[in-house]
Amino acid sequence: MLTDFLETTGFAQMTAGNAVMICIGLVFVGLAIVKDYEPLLLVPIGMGIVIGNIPSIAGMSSSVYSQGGIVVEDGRVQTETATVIDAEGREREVERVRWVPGSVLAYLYFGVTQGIFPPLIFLGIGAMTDFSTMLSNPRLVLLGAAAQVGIFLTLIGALALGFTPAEAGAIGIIGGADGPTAIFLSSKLAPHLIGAIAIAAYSYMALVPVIQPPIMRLLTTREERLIHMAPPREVSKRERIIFPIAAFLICTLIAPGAIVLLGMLFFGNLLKESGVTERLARTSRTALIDIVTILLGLTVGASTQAQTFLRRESLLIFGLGAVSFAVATAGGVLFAKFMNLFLREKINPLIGAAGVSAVPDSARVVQMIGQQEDPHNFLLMHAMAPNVSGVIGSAVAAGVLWSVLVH
Amino acid sequence: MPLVLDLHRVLEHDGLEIAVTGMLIVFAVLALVSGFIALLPRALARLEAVLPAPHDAHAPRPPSAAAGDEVELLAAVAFCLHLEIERGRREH
Repeated sequence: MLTDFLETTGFAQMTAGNAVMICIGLVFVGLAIVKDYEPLLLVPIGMGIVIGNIPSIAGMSSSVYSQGGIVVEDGRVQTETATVIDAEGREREVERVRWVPGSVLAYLYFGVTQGIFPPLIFLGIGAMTDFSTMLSNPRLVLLGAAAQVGIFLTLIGALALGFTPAEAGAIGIIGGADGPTAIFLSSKLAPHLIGAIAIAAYSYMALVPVIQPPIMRLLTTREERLIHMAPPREVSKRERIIFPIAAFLICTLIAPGAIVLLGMLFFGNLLKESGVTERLARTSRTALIDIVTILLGLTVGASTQAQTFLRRESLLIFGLGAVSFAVATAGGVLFAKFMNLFLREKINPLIGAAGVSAVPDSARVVQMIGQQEDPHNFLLMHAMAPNVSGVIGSAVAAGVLWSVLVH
Repeated sequence: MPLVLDLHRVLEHDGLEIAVTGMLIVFAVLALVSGFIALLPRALARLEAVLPAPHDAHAPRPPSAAAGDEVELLAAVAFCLHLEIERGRREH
């Protein structure tokens, strides 16, 4: 009995891969707590990785992959005899379809695999985003488009490395630096890669302060980093209310694939700006987004079981993700420099780096680098414009890739 | 397995075409959004002449006259109390 029990413990069934993944999970938790890198994401994901790599007992699986369902053997649905109590309270035997229940984590993971959680997160993001800086300087919207170059160049790289077009599209979206968008698109195009893509996307989002500054310094001169920009103008309430409706129509009429993500983003923003649905906006940007973030982070982390995660593919995805992120940052900065060739009132090219979505971390990095050169240069508000337009841009890119590659 | 970059696969799967078209669509969408944002204040300024912005029933209300009076009243009461306390101290 004791031997049987000992054989069922995690220690007895632990593989080297599980141990490595548990260490990675603990590193994530450590980075979040000690270094304060995206703690709201890395703590649930890190803990999820630890949970997902505790070996489970046969017949008592707690994995996200234990989905359960109707039992089919040799192509025939299996039945079983069960005792039930009828309406008169009498016991009687019935024959019914044999069904195996899934694990709790598998049910929660349903929100990831079916792409339910990402739009809900976008609703919350919309309800907390202030588009005023973007509305006050429409030229900066284009920087959010330029930074999406990382997505499409990575798609080419992934294709060249042997991934299928659908997988390449899902991997490329890591360059959008937008976790929910990456999860949404991979759930549609390459569900078997969700774990690796989500972990790569969130890892690079957390590492924005490490990855972006060297690229930004490399591509700009000191004079460019010292450019001061005029303060943004005040935006009227009417503009803020009309914007989410009009932008939704423009974006989704051109790229209908983005309707789910952008629909929720702009709906959330309308809740915020309309001024008449403050309760709904508050719930969306607080309780709802927090609950969904917990469920999404934990289950995505738990999907990284060593047996399915520690593969050559995952390493390639991590490599391509890093390239994608770096190219996206460079794309934004270089496009800002290109725009300066035609503008009388120059823009600080550092803000181009905020075109990668990662709201608001990349905008904060721009502010930090700008202030290292000149403590009196406040770029945060200006960087928020390409930052939020980057969110729209990456969602449009995801919509385009979904509609083109889904078949 | 060695890492092989096969550019032929990119052409075979229309990778270049997808990338260029995708980038153009993203630029087109955001350029239109940018153009709309640039035109919006002018359009609203014209609209303002025909249809002025309605009173916002949900906006935080400015401090009312009554509230101002209350503050003045409290200041007067506090001043009287202060005088009374000072007078009491002198008498003792």
